[in-house]
Amino acid sequence: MRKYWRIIWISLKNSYTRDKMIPGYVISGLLFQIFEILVTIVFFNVIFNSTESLAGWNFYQILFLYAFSKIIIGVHSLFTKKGIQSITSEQIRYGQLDFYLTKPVNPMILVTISQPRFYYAFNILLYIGVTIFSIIKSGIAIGAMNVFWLLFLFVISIVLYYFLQVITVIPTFWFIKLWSLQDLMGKLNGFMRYPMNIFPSFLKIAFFIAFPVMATSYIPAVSLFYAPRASSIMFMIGITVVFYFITNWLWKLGLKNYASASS
Amino acid sequence: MKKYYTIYKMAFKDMMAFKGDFILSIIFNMAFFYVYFAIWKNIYSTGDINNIADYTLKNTITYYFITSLIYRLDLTNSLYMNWEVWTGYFTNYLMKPASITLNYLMQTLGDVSVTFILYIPFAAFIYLTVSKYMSFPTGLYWLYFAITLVLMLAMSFFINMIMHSLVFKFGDQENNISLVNYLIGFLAGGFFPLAFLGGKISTLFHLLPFKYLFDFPCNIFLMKIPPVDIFYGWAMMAIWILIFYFISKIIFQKGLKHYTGTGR
Repeated sequence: MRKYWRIIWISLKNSYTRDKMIPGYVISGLLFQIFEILVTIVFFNVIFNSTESLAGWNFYQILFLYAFSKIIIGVHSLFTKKGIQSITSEQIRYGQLDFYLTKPVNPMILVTISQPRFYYAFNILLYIGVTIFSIIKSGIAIGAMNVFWLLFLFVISIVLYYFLQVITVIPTFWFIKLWSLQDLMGKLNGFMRYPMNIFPSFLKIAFFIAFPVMATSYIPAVSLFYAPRASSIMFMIGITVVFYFITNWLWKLGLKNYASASS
Repeated sequence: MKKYYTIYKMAFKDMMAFKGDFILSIIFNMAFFYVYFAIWKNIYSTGDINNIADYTLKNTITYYFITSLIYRLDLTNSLYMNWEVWTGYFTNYLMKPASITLNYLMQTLGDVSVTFILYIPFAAFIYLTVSKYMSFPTGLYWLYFAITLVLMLAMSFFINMIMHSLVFKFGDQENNISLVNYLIGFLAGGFFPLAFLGGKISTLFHLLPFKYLFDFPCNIFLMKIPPVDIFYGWAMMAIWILIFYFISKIIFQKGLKHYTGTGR
């Protein structure tokens, strides 16, 4: 485990050095996030001009859910997004995965943490601010246990989201040029922003159970605002373990199909 | 004219070569429609609301259906000038006996034609799943809608050319192009009908030219705009197209003087 932290630390330092050289790029990325928050707040205002609650959730709870989902996405953008995207764009297509396969560490983990982007740390701070603001303004009494379960489930969500992200790019082992998979999770993130109960049954089955991207933000948020339920917590732990096995099995299956250079 | 048609044809074929990848991206993009569908269906049905700012549930869902269609005509990922200038590939265009602007226009048209055509079966799928929440125009309104889409494409192209032309002087504009297109999508009514804003902010949004990119065509499709106002809208669009064309031309010509052909 220690060597992985060392790899992350070294990659982060490299990323910091790189991002320091392109302040314009970093600033415009941060500006994008600020505008996205503003646009989202306007959109939520439009929604709550017409209704008092969305599936029982008030304005600030929805804002929390949105910002919380962005923190999960932000953590992945910071550590693994670029690395995972590179699997679809170059690693397999040009045979560059060889480099990672020859190292004495898990190649899946190594390739996914190989290209962190330091500047996403600023985005995370921004969204942490929004979550704290929305918790305070939500007017809901929150106990220490709620906070504990939120943080516990946040860690589980990060792990689960990671597995889901990796699964989305594994088809590249079979279909060499699948750039659209690069941002599949970006498209599905929309399901993380709203309470599960607004979605029709077929979407709930698809994105809460089969590919549980909704669960990563919804269950921790529910545990913060309402009495934490053992069944939900067990579900999160259970489904994360299941996806750990699925991801590893699919990755190994994909690797068998990897033909090295110019595959 | 033949050479420009060839450029269009090549861009079309290039996109078609990787249509599997492309179809996947269209499928994933459908997620947005279903998220908005779920939100608004929930608001209208749980609140027992008949209409919001004169939009019934059918109007609202149809509005999002049309925005999903218009987003397929989005030029953000079809215009490559920023990247080509930044990498030096742009030099190729300087050596060819063809207008650079028309060259890019034909390329982007080739790209979006494929996107649009491949989207049709998915639009049919959306229609099948939520048909009872949708309404369609009748008679001439189909023609009005089609003409508006053509004008919308021209306007969007020159707005993007302005952004891309800044690369000559200010370097890579990738992030700025995404940011500006995101904001324009919001100001244009790409996220919700502008009428939902209400009050002064709605008036302000309507004063901007961006409403012609989403809100205007969607409302034509919903038959909410009488023909006289549609003709007025077209005239305004033509004026804005000319304004954006001249701005892009000036920035492009001035920027070109900074081009060294070496890439980054």
